[in-house]
Amino acid sequence: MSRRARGLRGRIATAVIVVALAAVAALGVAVHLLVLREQVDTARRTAADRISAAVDVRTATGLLAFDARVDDPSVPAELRDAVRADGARATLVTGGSVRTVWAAARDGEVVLSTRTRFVPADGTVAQVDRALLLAGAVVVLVAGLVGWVTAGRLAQRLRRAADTARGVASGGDPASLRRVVGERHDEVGALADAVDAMAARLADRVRAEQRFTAGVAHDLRTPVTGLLTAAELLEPSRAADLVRDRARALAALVEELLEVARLDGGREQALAEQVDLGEVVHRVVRRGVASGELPEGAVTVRTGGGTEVVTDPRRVDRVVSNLVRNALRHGAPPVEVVQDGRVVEVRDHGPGFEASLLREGPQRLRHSRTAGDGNGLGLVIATGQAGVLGATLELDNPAGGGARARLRLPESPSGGPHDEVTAGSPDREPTGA
Amino acid sequence: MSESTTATGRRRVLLVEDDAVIGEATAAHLERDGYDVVWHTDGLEAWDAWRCAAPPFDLVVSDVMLPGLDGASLTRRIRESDQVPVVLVSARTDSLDVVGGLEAGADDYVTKPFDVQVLRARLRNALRRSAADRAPTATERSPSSADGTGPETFGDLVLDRRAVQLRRGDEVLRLTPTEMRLFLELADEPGRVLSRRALLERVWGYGDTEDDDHVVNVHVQRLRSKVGAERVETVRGFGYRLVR
Repeated sequence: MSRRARGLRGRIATAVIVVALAAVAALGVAVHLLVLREQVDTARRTAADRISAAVDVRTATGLLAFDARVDDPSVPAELRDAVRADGARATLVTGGSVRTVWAAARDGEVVLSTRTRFVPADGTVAQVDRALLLAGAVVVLVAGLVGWVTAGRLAQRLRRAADTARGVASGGDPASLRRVVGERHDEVGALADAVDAMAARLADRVRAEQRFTAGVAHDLRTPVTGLLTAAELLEPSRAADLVRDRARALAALVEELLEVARLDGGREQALAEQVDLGEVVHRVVRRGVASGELPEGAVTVRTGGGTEVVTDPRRVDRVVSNLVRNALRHGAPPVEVVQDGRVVEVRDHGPGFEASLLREGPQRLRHSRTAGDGNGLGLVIATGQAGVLGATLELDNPAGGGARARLRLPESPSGGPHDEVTAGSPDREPTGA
Repeated sequence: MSESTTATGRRRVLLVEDDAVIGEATAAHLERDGYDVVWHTDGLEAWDAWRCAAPPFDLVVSDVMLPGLDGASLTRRIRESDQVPVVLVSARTDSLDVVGGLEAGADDYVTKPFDVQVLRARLRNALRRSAADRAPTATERSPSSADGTGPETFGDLVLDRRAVQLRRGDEVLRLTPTEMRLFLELADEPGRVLSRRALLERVWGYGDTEDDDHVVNVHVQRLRSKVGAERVETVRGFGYRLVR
């Protein structure tokens, strides 16, 4: 989950540097070649001028000037062919790192030629190259830096957006990605808007479904109450018992649906008061036995005795009674309820929780291997109520078999005080409840 | 829509419930239990029936959501002139319905879908408080501090246990039987903190396994508004106590 996405910044900076390097290299080579060509051209012009001057001098004086030679055998054949006509002139550059500049001209029957050498990579070119290299390096460095910073900002905005989205996904406060990524109207902003719109729409859908569930359950209350009240009027018989039993089951299901809808609504608040946790646990089982819901002797209670905690006893009651009912429905007796300090443990001796339940947590209305009387809401309610209490509910299959659920109450309750007016100091005198 | 049998010695109950099945079945249950039931489906009709009733009703059982006049408003109108026990039936536990009804002066409530046994017990308890209030001596209560002692004072309040009266100067405070019962429980041992649970059991007769969020809170608020806010202290997380 906390796998942090990295690399966007590096990739973007690298790309910027590569592009800058390529541009600088191409430019550098082009300038280098241009400078070189300019030098060669200059050398050719000089050579051409000199051979012209040498021909003029020879015509006038018959002397050879400017190191010109007559019918030099080392003149390349190419050049000699080029000056076959009388008065023709030509230049030729050969060689690599050291260039030889030939110039030739036909003067009557002879070919005059000059030969000069020059090193292209002389001071000028080297200087130009150095300047290019330096400028290139600076450009690449600056480009890389700008790329790094820009990409960093982009990556940071995206990372923040991702963190926020993860927070929303894991059930945190609905937050706007737009607020996190800033006001800019760019692609990141568009993405944030899109995700926000999607989240809002999903939230609307969920809310609508919650409202629907609550509405259906609520509308069922009146007819179910009528059914229940009318069923109680039936003369005692097996049929009447069956009708009453089903009417009660229906009423219980409606109440559980409403409870789940309330918990989903997220507006439930714990009303904390000082209670003896052991007594709360005992009461759950006493009531279950008294109402006939729990078979006598199937549930044993062991309490640590005299553990006063500040919590919402009705919600603790809901958690524990749902755990016990679940243990009897899906597990096997004996069911042991043990209170020790702030922890209440409910353990049965059945086949244990299903792997999928332990993996994914309690899911509503998922029917497990034992269809029985369970409607699959008990553990959802227990988890939800534990959440309102700020408590944790741990489910596992301990060594030795069976399923175990442990409710761990927090040190300080998350709920507000029980009443709005506060006066006096806490009086630890037993209240006789 | 109404049926009324006036036999002597039977408690008269005004039942207000707009759902035909719940109304009819509840009326049948109450008649089986020996009440005379007058059943109305409309709040305003029920109010007319209440005003014209002779002899007056001993108990009102009303739904909260009603056509004409809702349960809370009906309760408020009744409370302007009478302290008859009112038990509300609400289809919503978590809403302001219940609190609103209790603030209007209802003594107790049950939520739909209710268990008939629970409704019976609540009605019996409400009637018992009312009967105890009318009798010159508190019938089932015999706190040691009340035996043979004269009027007790709590600040500017004077409690006369024999007459079951609470006075401020010459004025007799108009407490409902439930408020009076709550005051008496707190007055038995002034300064001692009584938990919400203890009060639920002692005043409202809730069983060991019944619990509730609103009844005690709202009644304490109502009592405070009549006896003075400083008289009843909340000890956060523990309960309430009466201050002398």
